[in-house]
Amino acid sequence: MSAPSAALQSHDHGAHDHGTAHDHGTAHEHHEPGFFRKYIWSHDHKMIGKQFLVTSLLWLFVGGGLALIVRWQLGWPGEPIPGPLGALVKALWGTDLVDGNLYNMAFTMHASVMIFFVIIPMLVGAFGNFCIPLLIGARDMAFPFLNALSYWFMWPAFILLTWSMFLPGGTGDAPAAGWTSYPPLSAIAGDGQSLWSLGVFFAGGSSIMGAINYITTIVTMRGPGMKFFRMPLTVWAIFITSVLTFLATPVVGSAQILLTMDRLFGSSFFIPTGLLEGNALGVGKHTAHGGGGSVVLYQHLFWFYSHPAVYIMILPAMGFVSDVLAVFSRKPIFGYRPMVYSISGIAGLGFIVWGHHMFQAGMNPALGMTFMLSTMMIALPSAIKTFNWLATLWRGSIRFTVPMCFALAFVSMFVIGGLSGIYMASTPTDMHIHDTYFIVAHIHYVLFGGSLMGAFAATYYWFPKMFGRHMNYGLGYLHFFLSLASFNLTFWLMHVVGLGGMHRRTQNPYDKYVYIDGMLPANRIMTIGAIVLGFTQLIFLFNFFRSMYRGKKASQNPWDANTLEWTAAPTPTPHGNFGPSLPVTHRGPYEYSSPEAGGRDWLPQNEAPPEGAPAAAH
Amino acid sequence: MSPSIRTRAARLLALPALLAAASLLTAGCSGDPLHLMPEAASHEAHQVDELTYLIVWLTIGTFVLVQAVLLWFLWAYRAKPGVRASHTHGNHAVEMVWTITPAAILVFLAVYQMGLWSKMKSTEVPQGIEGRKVPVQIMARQFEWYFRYPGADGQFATADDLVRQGDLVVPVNAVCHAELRSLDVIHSFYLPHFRFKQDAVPGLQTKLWFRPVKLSADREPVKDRLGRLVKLDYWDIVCAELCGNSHTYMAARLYVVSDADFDRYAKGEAIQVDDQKGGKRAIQLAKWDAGAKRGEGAFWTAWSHQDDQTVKGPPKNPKHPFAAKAGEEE
Repeated sequence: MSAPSAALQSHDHGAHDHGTAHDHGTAHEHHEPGFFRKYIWSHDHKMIGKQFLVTSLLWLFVGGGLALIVRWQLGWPGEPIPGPLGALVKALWGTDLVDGNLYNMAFTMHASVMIFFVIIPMLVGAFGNFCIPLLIGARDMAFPFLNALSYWFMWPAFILLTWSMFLPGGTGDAPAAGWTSYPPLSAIAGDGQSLWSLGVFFAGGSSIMGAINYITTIVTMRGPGMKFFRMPLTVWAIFITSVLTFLATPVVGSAQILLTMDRLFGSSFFIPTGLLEGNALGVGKHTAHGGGGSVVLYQHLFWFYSHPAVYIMILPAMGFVSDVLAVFSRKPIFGYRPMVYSISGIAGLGFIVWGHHMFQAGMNPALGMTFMLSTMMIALPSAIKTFNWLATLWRGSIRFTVPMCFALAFVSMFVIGGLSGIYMASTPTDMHIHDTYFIVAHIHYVLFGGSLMGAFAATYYWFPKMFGRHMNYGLGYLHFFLSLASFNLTFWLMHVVGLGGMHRRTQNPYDKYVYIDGMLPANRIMTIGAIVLGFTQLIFLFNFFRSMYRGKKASQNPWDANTLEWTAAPTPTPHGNFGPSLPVTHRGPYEYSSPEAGGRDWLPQNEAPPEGAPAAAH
Repeated sequence: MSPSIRTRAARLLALPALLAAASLLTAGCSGDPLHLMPEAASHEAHQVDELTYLIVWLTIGTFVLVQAVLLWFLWAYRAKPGVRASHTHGNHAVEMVWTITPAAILVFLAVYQMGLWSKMKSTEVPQGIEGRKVPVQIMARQFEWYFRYPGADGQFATADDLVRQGDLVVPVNAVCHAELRSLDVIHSFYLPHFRFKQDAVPGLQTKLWFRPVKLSADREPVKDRLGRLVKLDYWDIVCAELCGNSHTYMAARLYVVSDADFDRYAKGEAIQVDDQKGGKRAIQLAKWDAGAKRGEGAFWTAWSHQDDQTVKGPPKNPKHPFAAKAGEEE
């Protein structure tokens, strides 16, 4: 029996399955929308998800190019950037030598682009949108218009941040105060900083709209039989992420408004009394009469968002990886409920650890101790998740598909990122490694080794559902092995130079510090790793776009998965997702190798149990 | 709980327990056996290194364990024809074990380090720390460090204060009790060889202390990019917080000298240090008000103005709407 026929045979809930927003069921199958409505101003969650995915993929290369500017300068300081990147940088900014301004802009925009335009839109925007209705058995999002708006709200942010890099003042006017943009440095910076703040505000607006939509959809529009504890962990992760986004993002938006007021309208929320302003420009204006603001206040507001944001950037990937691991181990996820509780635990604790970014920022050391304790504790749910993933593999029947390889890489790399976090949580150790390359190593093991590996796993996994075709798996394995090797080549050594005392955000640390000069060979190796890592992603980009049109046609359920997007929604999935009636969920998402399933090793969520069988416990 | 699970759980537990014991044993032994960190030159740096190594052993142990288990499972449970995965949803006993074990380790770590943190970040010199007290004011600006000494009267913000940019001199085994400030943006006062860092936050006067135990002239040679050993006679002072386009050049030097040398230096006499070109250079404190005469008026006014705030109360701006009218004052 094929899975879709199971869906069609299930009970007809057509009379009461329609959500509040969508009462048109299959009506859209009869009139194909025009190009504009289908691809640009689409209200279909699947198309909006693809829009997010494609744009964030393209931004990945902008962010990567900016990172290579940074890496080149650290590997070959003072030498012109070679090759096509050098030519591009010269065409854009008139020089291929990396001076202080270009360098500070490059790492500032690298982080901003990667966080606001790549990781968050890719994990939450793309896969959140694409997966939620399909996985919970809904026809679309609760607010399709708001959903489209959340995508198009990203465009002002795209334009503003791009514009900020190309102001008439050159790189001297571009945002260069780091992605954290701490005042007073950001308060006295060039005009690009204002555009940056406004851009972040728009990106935050987009996130909030998405979060409202996801929460509402998951709470009110789960299909018949889809209880909360029958939802796949992907949906759980995005649900809890959305709560984080919804509660935390307004705070960073407010901080950017206050910062912009300080910059443009003469307020001084963050500017204390008695500063020597304009020193960098050689003006030396003494502004004793302004001020009264607090520098540390901005850091509290910023990290109150940006620490939860770290979890916004990792929790969805944890969800994807859980699903992929279960499918390709052919086993139920080990400890489904503890997984849900630990996601919630991470989210809850995630709100009370922000101060660990400020251990050295003049905060009361007693307060630092409190944040140290909560930070130590947040390692616990992450450890539980890791052990549960390992136990999911235990006695499984592991299929090493490309998505599985990336999911396993996630687990392996996330362990490193998690363990290195303990060095920072430990306050006396943090005193030494704070603001060094150790931190850079940690964040990249979590955000590249974690989030991005998870996003790759999800892309390879759901691509057949998105486009009805498989990606090329030969290229996929090549992408996997090269990424894993060059990623570790790049970032492992950062732990070493960080402990060695190489501080970050410096354009030429070798010049003034002999002890860092000895780390130049290590930095060259990292730069070579970064270049290989960057070019490897081109394989992925090529594979992605080629497979959209030329990939092998995918069958309905190529992975033998249980969840509704594979078992109930046809491929290609029409507007409205499911046939005339919504699929009915009878069990949890991970009933692989269940004795109930007979000869198969999967048991679709929407397959009705045989007559007279006892109700499933899960 | 099946016996096989129990033995596996025991195996899972045995290794971390062994590692923890091993790490506690090695913690007291030698400073930096893996040469991970720059040379330690303060009393507290050695204590930080001990803690670091405890974490190093714990995390390396966990890392090896988890990755080995992962690889073992990947090999042992790869898909084989005719072999079906086992159907299990979890096991409470095992899950309790791997929840409680890391929790215990993390709580232990958290409690273990509290003492060192509160000692190192104490704004006053903690009780029980002996040694000569040397007060210094550290002022950061883009992209320079200034160090001010109180002069003969032992008071800051008086006419006999002495100041120098770029070189901080303290006597060995003394307790340097410093006040850290910034005049423009955030900087961070980072002593890699002391494992010490504190942000210089505009608007805050942050008290800090450190205790050098090794003469900077005795610093071990460091390797440069070509692997050549370079002899240096100072400890590095690094600005570790992004402070603008020349952030990378905001360095200073900490000279830890004998008591006798320091006494001469603190009186305003010159002392000789290496110039790193094979010769010597003299470093000497300048009179506090000399900066104004050198045409750096705004900078010295701003600094003096901060003195006024801390020493003489809040600033008085006659144009301010809430300012006391002439004659009402005092």
